[in-house]
Amino acid sequence: MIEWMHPGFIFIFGALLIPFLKGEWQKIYLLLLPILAFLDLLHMSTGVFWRVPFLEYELVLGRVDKLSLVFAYIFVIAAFCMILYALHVDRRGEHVAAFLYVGSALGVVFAGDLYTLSIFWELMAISSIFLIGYRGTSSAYAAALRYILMHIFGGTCLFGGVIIHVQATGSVAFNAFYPEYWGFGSEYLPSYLIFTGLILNAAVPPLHTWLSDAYPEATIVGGVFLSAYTTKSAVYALVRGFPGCEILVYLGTVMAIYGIIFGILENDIRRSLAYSIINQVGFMVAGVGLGTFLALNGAIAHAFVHILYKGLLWMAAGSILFVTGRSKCTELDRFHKAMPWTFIFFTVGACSISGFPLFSGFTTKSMTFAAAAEYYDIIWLLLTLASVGIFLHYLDLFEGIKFPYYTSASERGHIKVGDPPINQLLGMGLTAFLCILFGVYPAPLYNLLPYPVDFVPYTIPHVVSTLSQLSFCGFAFLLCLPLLKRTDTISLDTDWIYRMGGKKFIWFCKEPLPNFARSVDNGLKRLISFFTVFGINPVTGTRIGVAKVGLTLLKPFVSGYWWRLYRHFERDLEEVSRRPIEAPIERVPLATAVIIILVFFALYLIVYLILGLIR
Amino acid sequence: MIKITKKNLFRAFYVCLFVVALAELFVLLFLHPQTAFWWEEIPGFNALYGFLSCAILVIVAKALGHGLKKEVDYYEKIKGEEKMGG
Repeated sequence: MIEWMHPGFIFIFGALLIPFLKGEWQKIYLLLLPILAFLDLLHMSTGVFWRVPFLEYELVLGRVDKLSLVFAYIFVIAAFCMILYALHVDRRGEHVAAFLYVGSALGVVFAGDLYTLSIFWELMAISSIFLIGYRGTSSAYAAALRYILMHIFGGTCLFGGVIIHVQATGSVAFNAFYPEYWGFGSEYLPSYLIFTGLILNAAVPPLHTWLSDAYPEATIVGGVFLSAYTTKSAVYALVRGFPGCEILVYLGTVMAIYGIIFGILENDIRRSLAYSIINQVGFMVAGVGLGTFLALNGAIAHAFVHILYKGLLWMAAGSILFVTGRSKCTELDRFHKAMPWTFIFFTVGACSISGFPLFSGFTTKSMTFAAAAEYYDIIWLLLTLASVGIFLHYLDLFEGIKFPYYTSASERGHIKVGDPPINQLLGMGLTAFLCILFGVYPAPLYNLLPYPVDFVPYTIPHVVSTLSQLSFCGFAFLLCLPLLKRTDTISLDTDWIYRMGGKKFIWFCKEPLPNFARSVDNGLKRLISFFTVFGINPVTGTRIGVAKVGLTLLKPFVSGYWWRLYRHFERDLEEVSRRPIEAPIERVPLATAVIIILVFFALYLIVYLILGLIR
Repeated sequence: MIKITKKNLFRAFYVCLFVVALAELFVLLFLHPQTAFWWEEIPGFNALYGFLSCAILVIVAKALGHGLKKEVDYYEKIKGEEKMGG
């Protein structure tokens, strides 16, 4: 019995009506859908729903448990905030793409079997390219193309893994692959493939470049939506499929540090924020790898609040882009005076992501750290380093857009602007409120988590140690300021391999390959023409062949008087070689023919004698 | 009333640093928090580690930046060269 409507379908089918609505009605409708989905979620009971028979399998579109519910809640809440932020957009296609995207992310979260997972996974990738492509610039199209190529690769890995897994086990159920289907050996191939597909969407280096490449090229609203769903649904799938898989601890730690370092190098605010997503997802991936209840809770709670504060940061960066048309640090200056509210919201987001007490990052990230402290000492140190590094990253970003330390205001293009439209401010305000709410009062979030929580974030030692780390990081930042000058550059990343490799490949296909083909072609043509001549007139053919080879060999040694003679011979030869087809056929004397045949026999004999001796 | 100037802000920040460092020492000496690792019992570990983390990341980023930072039209330029060649 269907007790409830699939919230993903509310978004997906709801999106189909958007093009038919206009003006205020459209705006009301857009806001109504996430509210409807939220009410739907509130009335949902746990269990398995929406079973659909498919071939000899049974697809489960709705597996509802605490794990899928917590992700669904945050997806729908974030969707509401983001749609509020996006209301000013007139292009309906962009809204449709965003709704399909959110709907398919919800589909992933509720997918109870591997086929449903793959289908929504692909739908998510396809709908998200529109959020990038609607930007309309040529670099956005190029980035969208690279984005979808990477996702096709990931999706193919996932689907291939799923098919082999289903063939091998006969079950389509989406349950933990680790530790049951994990180990060394070819029999674990499906798990490896599925794992690759999942970590590609989680943006684990070196498979992360689709994110840092494409997200900054997305539309203002598109970037906000993209920041939330793809990576977090991948985190969900990892929690479901590979909890406690040790390699994820190391991958997550690498991600966390990688994101910081590249974020600091980057000049574009939105690209810097994209690297910051990689850093944050790193903490979640490490949490999934640790696999204890505390760590999994930490990863999930962190994903929950991360969607909010990262969405907030993308909204603020989007507003700066919306109002000024610029997103590069080197082109912006004193925006806190021009856009005070945007500045405040950006600060709230930055404090949350840095994990300041009373902000949401503090109450969630520390769970993962507490779990890491139980097992790994080096990992704990590295994760703490990355966690402190976020504060550095955001101080750096603030410095980049705000304080004119290095250049005068006139050098940087002074912009006189105001805050963005009211709906953007409301969207950011609501998100900022939630960021602070879960920082001050995390109990409702802790209650949503799938495993029981006995974690108390606000203890005096914890607060003091966090403040101490952050403030001394700030001190070091002040000392290092001269080293951190922003430059109008881009940074090479692993996408260099396929961007340059692609270009080199195209060049190879355009230049050396056709040349080679042409030379083979010409050679064959010459050979054929020789045989044609030879077939009609063997004697002249042989003479011409010998003369040609002889002339070619002689050419380097010819000089002075002999050159004229050589040219004469060459011209003569050309004439002769054109002539023989019409010329009367010369008869070869019988004796000559017999001798040639005997020579062939002799050669035959010698070859076989030699072969016989070798054996 | 104290004016909000850059100088005063920096003074306030240094006072905060001092207070936080004292608080950390106080916590370690009088509250005896549960620690997971031996290094957490070093006085001022968190402050030192915060400082070091920041410095390490900045230096690593700076060093990598020398090799990885390219002009904005890096990828487009290569396309242009290819067009000229082809």
